Amino acid sequence: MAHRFDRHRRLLWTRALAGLLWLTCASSGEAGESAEGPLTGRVVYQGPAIPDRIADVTRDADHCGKTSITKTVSIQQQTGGLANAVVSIELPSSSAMPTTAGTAVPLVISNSRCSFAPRISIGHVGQPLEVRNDDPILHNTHITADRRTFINVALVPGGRPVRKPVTQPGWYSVVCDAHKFMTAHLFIAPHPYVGITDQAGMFQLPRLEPGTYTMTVWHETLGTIHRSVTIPTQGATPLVVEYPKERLSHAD
Amino acid sequence: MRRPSQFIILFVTLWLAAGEGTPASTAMATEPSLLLEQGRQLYQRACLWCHGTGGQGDGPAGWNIARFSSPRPRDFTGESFKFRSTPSGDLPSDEDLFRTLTRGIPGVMPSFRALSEDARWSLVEYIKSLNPDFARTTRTPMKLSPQPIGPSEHSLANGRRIFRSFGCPACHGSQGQGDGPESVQGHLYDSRQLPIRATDLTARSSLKNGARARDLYRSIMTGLDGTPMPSYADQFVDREADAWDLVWYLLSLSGEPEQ
Repeated sequence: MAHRFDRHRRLLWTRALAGLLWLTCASSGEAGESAEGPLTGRVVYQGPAIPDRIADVTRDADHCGKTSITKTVSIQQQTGGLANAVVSIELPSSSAMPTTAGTAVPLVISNSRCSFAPRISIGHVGQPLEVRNDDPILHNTHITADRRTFINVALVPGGRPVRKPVTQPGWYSVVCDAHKFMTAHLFIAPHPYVGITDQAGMFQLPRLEPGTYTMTVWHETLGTIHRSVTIPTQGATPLVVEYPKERLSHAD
Repeated sequence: MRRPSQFIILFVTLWLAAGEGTPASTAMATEPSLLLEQGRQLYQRACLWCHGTGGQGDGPAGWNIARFSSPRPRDFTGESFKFRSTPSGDLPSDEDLFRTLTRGIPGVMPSFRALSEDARWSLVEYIKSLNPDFARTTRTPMKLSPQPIGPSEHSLANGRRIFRSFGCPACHGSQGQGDGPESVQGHLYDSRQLPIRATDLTARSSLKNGARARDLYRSIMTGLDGTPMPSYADQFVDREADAWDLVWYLLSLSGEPEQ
């Protein structure tokens, strides 16, 4: 009985210490990378405010409204954390490509309220992509990689979702040919080392082997930046990636 | 006044008719390498004018077909193919390429029916060699339901209902004349971002993927990749009769009998 009590007390202490450590990291705004744990960090933008994208609705205004407003740059006020940035690691071509877990779980893109949800998605090679229509109007989901069609399907109201495995890595552009203001982006990685920032700008990638890598951060409006990241054999290092305050020349 | 593309089609057809009798092109090619070489020689004589020496759709005559609007000659090296029996996003089957070569594309590409079957198959092999994805991927035709004998009493009314409820008038217009608001207002683009008009369904000659009932059925199911025309296959699962009713309705728009 006493042995069980001791074990319970040790468990409580361990959880309390882990919680304290997490709070310390979160409150300081620093992310950590460790050879033992996942690679975490925050993407930050503290430049001038960027206006929402506004487009006229030329069809189905009864349901979609007269104008479409898309917030492409979402910043957390306190930290400058940038949401919906895609963070990925470029592995050397010589390295063996690790397998991805959870590739059987479908990646769902829904046509909802005349917008794609989510608008920015990440997935892995081999993962099934499902497109569906939750609106009471016709949508036409057209997904391309460069000039090559991945899928172009009509989705009638109440119709069946369409599913197809994604076999090629890279960027995919998602549009609705019925409603041109509807756009989304999908990144398919050949490995597990890809993440997307949450509303606080935080991301998390699986554990990497110690070494130096190139990290790529992409944002729909702010563009693409690259950073060199060193994974130490042990210990933690703060990782914050900040977008330049000036717009990048290749950004939208 | 005749369109420049008509002169090109006439020129290519005459050129082929003159050249196909040469021993090199009529020889039966059984070895894959010989078949490929025969296809390459034919391609250089017949196709590169529009599709370019490397098959990238950048041949000199292509500019006369459509300089600033769709369709431009197909880029065989990496672009999608419109006319297929395979699902949206997949490359066409060998039979699809053979069918397009044999029939041509009304108003755009001549029929190569004048070539022997062997010669046409050698061209199929050469076209496939221009894109390594043909060798890397499987290309399985969709299972399309067999064509019924003909429309039933209620087919046209049901087809018209589906035409409207599936949003076809937005591009093809309420009477199918290709004058829907999306088309007229210039909202439609192909994969090269060139403006494209919706097909006039009341003119059989404008149906580029064929004007027979099963051709229309195939176009509805597969969609035309590289254009805004989507695949409706998943929306017609277990509703094959509805899909055929839509086909009968579309055919009725031209007022011509099915061929």
